Amino acid sequence: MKELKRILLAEDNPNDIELTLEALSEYNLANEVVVARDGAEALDYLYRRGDYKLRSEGNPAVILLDLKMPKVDGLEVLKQVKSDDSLKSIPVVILTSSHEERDLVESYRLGTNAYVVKPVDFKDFVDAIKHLGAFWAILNEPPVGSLRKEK
Amino acid sequence: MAIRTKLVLILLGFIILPLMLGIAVLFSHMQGIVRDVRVMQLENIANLEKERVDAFFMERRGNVELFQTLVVVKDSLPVFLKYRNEKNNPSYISAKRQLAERLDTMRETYGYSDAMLVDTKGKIVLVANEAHMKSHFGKPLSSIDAVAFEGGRRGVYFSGIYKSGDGFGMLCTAPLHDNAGNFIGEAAFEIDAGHVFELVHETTGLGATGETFIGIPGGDAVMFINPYHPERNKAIKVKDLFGGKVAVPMQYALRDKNGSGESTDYLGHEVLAAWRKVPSVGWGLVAKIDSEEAFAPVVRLKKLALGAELLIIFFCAVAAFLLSRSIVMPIMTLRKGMGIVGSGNLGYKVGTEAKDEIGQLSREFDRMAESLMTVTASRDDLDREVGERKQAEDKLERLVYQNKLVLDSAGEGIMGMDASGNHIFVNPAAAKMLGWEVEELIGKNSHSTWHHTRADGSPYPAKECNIYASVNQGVVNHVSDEVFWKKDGVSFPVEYTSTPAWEDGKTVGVVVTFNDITERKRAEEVLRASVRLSEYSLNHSLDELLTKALDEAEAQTGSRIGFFHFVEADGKTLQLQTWSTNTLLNMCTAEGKGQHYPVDKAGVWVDAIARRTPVVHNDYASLPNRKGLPPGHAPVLRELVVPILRGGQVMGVLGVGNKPGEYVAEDIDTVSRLANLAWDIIVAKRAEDEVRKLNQDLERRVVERTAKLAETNNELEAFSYSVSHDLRAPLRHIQGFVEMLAKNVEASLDEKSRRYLHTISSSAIRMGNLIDDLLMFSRMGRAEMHMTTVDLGRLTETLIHEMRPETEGRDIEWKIDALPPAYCDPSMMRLVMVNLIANALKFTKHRPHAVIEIGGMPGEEGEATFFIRDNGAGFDMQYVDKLFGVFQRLHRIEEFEGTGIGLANVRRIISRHGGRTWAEGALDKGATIYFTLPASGKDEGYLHERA
Repeated sequence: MKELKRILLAEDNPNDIELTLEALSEYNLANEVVVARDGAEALDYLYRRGDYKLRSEGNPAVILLDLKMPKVDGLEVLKQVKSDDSLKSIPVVILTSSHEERDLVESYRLGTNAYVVKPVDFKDFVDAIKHLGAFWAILNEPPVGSLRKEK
Repeated sequence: MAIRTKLVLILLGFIILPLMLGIAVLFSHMQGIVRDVRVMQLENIANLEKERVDAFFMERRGNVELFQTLVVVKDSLPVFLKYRNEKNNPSYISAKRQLAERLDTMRETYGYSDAMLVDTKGKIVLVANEAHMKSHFGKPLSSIDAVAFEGGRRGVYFSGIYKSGDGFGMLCTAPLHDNAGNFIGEAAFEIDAGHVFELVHETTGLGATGETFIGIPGGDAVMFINPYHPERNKAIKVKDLFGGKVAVPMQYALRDKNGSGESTDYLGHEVLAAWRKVPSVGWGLVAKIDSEEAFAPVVRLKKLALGAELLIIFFCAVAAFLLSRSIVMPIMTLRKGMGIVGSGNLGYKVGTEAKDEIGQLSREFDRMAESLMTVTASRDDLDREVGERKQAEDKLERLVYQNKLVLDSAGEGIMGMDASGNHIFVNPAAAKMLGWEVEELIGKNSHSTWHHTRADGSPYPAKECNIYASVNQGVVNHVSDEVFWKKDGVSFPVEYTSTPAWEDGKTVGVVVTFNDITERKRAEEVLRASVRLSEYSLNHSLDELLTKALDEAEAQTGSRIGFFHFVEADGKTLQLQTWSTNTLLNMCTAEGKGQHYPVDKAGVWVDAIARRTPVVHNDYASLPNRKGLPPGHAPVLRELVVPILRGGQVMGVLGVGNKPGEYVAEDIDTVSRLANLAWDIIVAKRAEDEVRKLNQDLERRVVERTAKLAETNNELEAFSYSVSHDLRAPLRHIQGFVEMLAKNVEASLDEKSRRYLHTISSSAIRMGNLIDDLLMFSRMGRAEMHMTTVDLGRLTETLIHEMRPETEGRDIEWKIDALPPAYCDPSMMRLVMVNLIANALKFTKHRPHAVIEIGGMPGEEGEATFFIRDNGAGFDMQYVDKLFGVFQRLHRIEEFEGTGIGLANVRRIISRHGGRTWAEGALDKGATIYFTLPASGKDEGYLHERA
């Protein structure tokens, strides 16, 4: 039986996954991450269907969402999450390579909680991810039904 | 005013003036249509060019803006400037190398002829193009273009055009800021203006004087650039241009007034033009064609019509002259006679023989003069009268004899009948026309002999007879629509005058004068047939017109066969064209329409071509050199063939045959007139069809190009999005893993670190692939196309053979159908097939037994459909619309390698060929990619254009 993890990372690129996990490991959060390799898998996880049919109940504390993914892209996932009453309280952080203004505008229009352009410099990247993880998964009081770290 | 003048004026007034007026109205209308079409054409071209130039500069602006955001530049430029006096400082060397690399990349990727960096004072500090090192380095930017530096302070700026080496260049400058937003210098890129001029090459369909040119304002001059006529390139001072009377369209364009119409160009010619402002650079763009050429078709037609008009005027004038002479001459004679009699010569006789009222008047006058003389004579001495009686009797006898001579020699038929209609006298001309001897007719009843039946074959009762009416009612009747019947039972059309003969106030008989008007009728008939043919041609096809001309020629000559064939320019080949309705229905089942046929194989009728004169064979069966008839051909009894000559060349022949009687000179004349008229109409109609076809073609091309332009803009947008998104990710990864490796270096180099190293290299390779593919994709949209017919089957076999090293050891079943020929650019089509086959191989690589099927079938209107099918990983149909997008992938990268641009390339190439692409598939059930190619030769103009 698959467990509910606190951080859902939706990201198709293995390098980005590795870099992100590396960053999160600084706060020992790497084990708290479940990785969805495209938008469709992220939605499967959230709705407990497909491969995640048997996972334990509850919502993650935060979703880190890449915009460009195969099958279902990040904006589509965001749209579905924010238009579903049982999911819309999950904080969503858009993580993307793109400076495109239209993506930024569209993400906030769809109700994202944060929009982070992945810095090219690795140190900045680690800082950004670390702080994101710390803020959303540790400091932030999650909505009822989400997991958070025991103090 | 003389009667003669009046007659001529009436004729001119009623025929020629309305004709000229009609033609004038028609031509002004035509000129209007031609102008509208031309202006629309010019507007479309001007719009297209404007969009192209605009898109070019938007693209330049996009990639310069990308350069402005480069972090490396932001970081390195201040360092570079700070240490520029310490050439050996490592920071300086590193910064310089970084900057130089970026400039080179920009230059090579986007095709700039040079890329430079400028410090905050406007001095050039870094030059990418080695050739410019000496001339540019360390110089102020203003030495290249006076205002480029100032312009670039505020944002992306495009300078004016200046001379650069053998060609022209222009600068694109943009400010650079460090991360804190401070101004640290400028980037300056030199654009080869030749690229810009190529963009405005488009003058397709405009003709010899059609051209597009651009006006580039710079300083106090406007430079005119004309890509077709370099010798016309020149600069005009702004103050001379504005307000001047030349280059009016360019004035409008530069003042933001887009529009079109008739105007004067910069060479001072009258032109039709469309003008547009290019907003991204503030240039003016004008597409024009000289009015003289634009309206040339109308002028040509005008000349033709003028010729026809002059001909008609000439014939009318001749007709007017002849008609007036026939009326006026007798009057003149009468007037002259009156003058002579009035002067005392009472013995003078006018002696007019005319059958009309004037003739009668003159005869009455003669009688009056005679009576007057008698009265005068009675006054004379009786003795003298008696003495002279004998002499008078002799004179009278001579007079009677002379009258008889006159009657006998008259060409007109003259007959006298008594009150019951029996012949009293008949002159020989009358008897000859009726086919009787004079003696046979005397005493015979006239009506029952030659006037018993009407022209339409119905009986003509005596009580309705116009000649009897003269006797019974005492009226003079002039009739021209009846026939007389010959002794042999054949009728002929006549024009006659019946005049009652009076005696003691009672009619005692009638005099009939008549003429055989067969020839006149025929000429009228031919004229009417010509008019019918002209009207018919207005709304019927060429074939229908030819058939109609043949039917008319048949009807006019009483023939039963009719054919019309064209002779080709070599004078040796016939193009069998058409046969008359009657021939096709009843006489001839031989086929061969449109067939080419050597002249020397045809029958004797082609003598008309060799001799260039009409040929008559009245006794066909006895001709010594005749050739056999094709099976199904009706027997030919006799024939008449007329050549159509133009400029000494036989253009075609019109033949008729199987008239019941023999062909005579009149038939030759009739058929010649109809054949020549039909030819003139054919020539005019062909020209008209050509113009219509050209216009339709033009409209279609404009629509296609507009759609193409919109598509290009969309792709450009997708391209810039991808550059900003996908190309950054691998960069980031390289950076990231290098950092992580550095962290791990403190310990010894372990497995993980080695893998990091590996990742660095693979990411770098991948980025290289992405950039290569992107450039390839971009190039596919722009490359010129060279169309030819390609055997796709052979191409496929070759490609499969070439890919053998990659398929080594795999179990692959190839099913390749016979493929229809494809009309396409061979190198682009090769790329399409490489992509599709490589895809099929890739997605079947996990199959123990792969099946790849390639097939095609011809479709409607020559369009061919091709497909390639595999039994590989397939895809979910709900994502099918993403399949052909740039960088769209439906599989994870570790499952199937690739950049996601292959199918986008396929779609772009196929759509540039005017074809379509689509896909079908199911997850794990394989995929089929379809594409179509249009018929060969279709959309030629569109395919050869540069996108």
